Amino acid sequence: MIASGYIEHFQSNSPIARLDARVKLIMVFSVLILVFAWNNPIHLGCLVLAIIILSLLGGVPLSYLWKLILISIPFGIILTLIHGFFNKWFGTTPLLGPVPDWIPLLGGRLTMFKEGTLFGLGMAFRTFALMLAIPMVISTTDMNKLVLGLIDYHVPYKITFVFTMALRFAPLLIEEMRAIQDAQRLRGLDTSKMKLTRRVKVSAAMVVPLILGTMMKSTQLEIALQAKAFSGTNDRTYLHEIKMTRTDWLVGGLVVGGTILAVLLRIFYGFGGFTFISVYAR
Amino acid sequence: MSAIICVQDLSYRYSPAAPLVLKEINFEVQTGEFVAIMGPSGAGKSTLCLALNGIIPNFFGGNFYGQVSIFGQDTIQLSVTQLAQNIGMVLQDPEMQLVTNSVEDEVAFGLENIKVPRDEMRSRIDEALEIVRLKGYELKHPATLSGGQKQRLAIAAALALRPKVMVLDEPTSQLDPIGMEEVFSIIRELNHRYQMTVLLVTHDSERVAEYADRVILMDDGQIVADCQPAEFFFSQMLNEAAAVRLPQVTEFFAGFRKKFHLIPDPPIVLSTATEQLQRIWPEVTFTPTQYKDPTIDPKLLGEPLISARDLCFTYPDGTEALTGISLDIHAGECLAIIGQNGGGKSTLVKHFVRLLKQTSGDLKIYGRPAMEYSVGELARRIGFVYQNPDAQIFCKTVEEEVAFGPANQLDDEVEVKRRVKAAMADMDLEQFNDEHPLALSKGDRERVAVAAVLAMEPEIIIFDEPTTGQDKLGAQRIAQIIDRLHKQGRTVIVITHHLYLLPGYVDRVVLMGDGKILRDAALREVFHDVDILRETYLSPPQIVEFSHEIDRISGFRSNSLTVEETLDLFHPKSSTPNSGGPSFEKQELREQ
Repeated sequence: MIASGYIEHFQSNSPIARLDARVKLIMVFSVLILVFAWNNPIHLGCLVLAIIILSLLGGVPLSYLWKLILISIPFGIILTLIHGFFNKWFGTTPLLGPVPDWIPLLGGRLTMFKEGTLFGLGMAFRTFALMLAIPMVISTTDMNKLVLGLIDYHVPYKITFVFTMALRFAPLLIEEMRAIQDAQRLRGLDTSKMKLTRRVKVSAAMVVPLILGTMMKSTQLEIALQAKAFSGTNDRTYLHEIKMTRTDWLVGGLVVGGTILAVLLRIFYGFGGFTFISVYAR
Repeated sequence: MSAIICVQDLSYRYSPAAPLVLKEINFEVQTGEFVAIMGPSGAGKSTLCLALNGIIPNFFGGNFYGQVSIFGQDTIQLSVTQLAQNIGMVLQDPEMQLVTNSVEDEVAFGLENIKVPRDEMRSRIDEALEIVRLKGYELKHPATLSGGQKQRLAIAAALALRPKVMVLDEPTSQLDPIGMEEVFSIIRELNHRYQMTVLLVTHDSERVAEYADRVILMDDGQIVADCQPAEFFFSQMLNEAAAVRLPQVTEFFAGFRKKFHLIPDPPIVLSTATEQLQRIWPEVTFTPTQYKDPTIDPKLLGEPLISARDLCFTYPDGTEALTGISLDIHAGECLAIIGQNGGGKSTLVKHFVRLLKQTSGDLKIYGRPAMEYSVGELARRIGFVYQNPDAQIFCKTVEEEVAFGPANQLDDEVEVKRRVKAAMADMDLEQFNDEHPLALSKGDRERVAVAAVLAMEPEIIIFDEPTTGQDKLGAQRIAQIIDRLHKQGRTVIVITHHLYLLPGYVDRVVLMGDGKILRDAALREVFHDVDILRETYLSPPQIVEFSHEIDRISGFRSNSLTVEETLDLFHPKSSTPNSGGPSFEKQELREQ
């Protein structure tokens, strides 16, 4: 396993990991289309479940997926609460509240609505799906094949190179940030006992050595790239090659077909729309 | 031989407002030559390397005067592709020059850029990895390689482009002793076996003396010497203010020459030094001596400040970094922790400041379990100075920087000011009060980092690899700071790979390997324990190796650690009654 901050790569020989990078990129596009086409929490929840199952089949450990979900949970809770309290678009069936009258200022206010809460839950699943979809592809795909897949989709080499560089150097930056934080702690800094304003000031102080270090590193990187005859143009050869197998064509076809069908169902029958669930909410 | 590189009247500045970093440089390099470029930090060595492969001025711009030609072609006229195929480049930092996610991709990267067809790429990758002895590592991620392997990979990546010249800018300065050995053996092989022209920037005098055909010494952007290594070190020997450290055997014979007026040209490598000594052996008197350092009864040392028993630490990914560490550190000791990278040195000292918490075992600091302290509490008693001063500087002025630690600890402003003043005076920083720390020179920034720790008035100070990447003066400066702190009564712990700096400063050495303590003894004992050093791939300072050669010649066992101690083993012949063969002033070993 190679860590790159948010995204880590896991070696696996599972059928999902063996799929062509282009097919996996199609899967990501499909997820992107579906999360914005649907707003029904059941459909979005099923999509999150499907991504988790595919990731697990692709060799991504549950612990890693759980880590990503844990990062997303605060956003999910905030979205659910905001929609629960303030979204009255789909109905106003009370779920919780209002606050008892005897409480000053808030008395008789702040009702949490069932429809808004369910819609918020859908938005939370949307966040989870987006958070998990990209690692599903990158964590299970060889970086070279991913680059070749992107090049095949006419993404300029310079952009794919920046993308791979970010993955390569993110851990180094994280390490440097930790070293600076440690240096501050070793000079008696205890942020847990600080007021927020002082904490922000101290965190801002860390930016100077971090930027300086990053600038020095990027200059070294530029020199190294020049010495390796890097020009950033698409006019180059590649050590690796990618070939679509019959399975790849089949899976790719199914994903594209399934997505088109889902979008059509959404447009013409409201499949995946929130009104589908508002019936149950009542 | 023909000139492969020709530099004529080269001067350069990075921007019109900046001072010249290269001034009127002129030299030629012949095919197959091994040229070492030496000199203090900031002398312009790295800039010269970048000018040789055209990155200056083609990429950096600036004001470029004069001409650099490779095979008679002006570098300004050549494209990046042509230049990369003529001159291979290896940089100091192994991390920042590896840009891909596998060993084979790293070697392929340059080949892809110059549009080598896939089949040929495969054969060139095999060939390059074979030369640097990394066959079998093709699919490994560069992050999983050791420092030495990373630099060998960087060499392979450059070799695959089949350059005629290899320029290496301090390729071993950030490596541990094994890594250095690996990289130097490859560089030597490239030059000897493949007749590749090599230009190597380094501070390693012993290896320059052994491998180089020629030395170029730079200072303040100019070439101040350009000659063969013997002549070079000989001239440096006569120069009191030499910017380059002499090989220790040369230093020994320089002293020998003063004392006995015997050696016309002091040797620069160990083998010739031994031959020279054998030749002059009948003309001097040898006094076999067993030096003995003063030892203190552990009972008199009192309670240890730091006491570890069966300390173990395992990283969350399951890597066992420390196993069964037991050691006591007493007040006033100056202790060095040595060993290869990955041996557990930094992991161990991070436990002393609570940046890491042991998985099992006991650690007591000032008699209390370490678990009872917070990082902040311990910071008042144990200071930690990092290798890179820039990672520990984050304030706007030097004064603020030094005050950062005490201000976090104390509410008494008067006391904070007193400590800041004292620490700045101690490190000679008073004149920089209102300067931005990052605007200072590297040496001054180091002193700011030390002053910032000193202002917290810790009783114990830990230095983590303070001499990595330092030139002679920088390394000496740090050694002097350590010595001064020790003489002030502080307990000092220093992690270093530069073993030659330790004699005279350090009393005790803890040798670590594979997360264990392999040896914990007096410096003299460890440096003369040939077996343990060989086992851990560590080389003692050259003078210690030379003293083993003296032992072989004399048949006696001496244990000198420094050039001065080794010189003291010899006396003028006239002082003894014997003549005609090796004479011994005293047949019994004496203790000092």
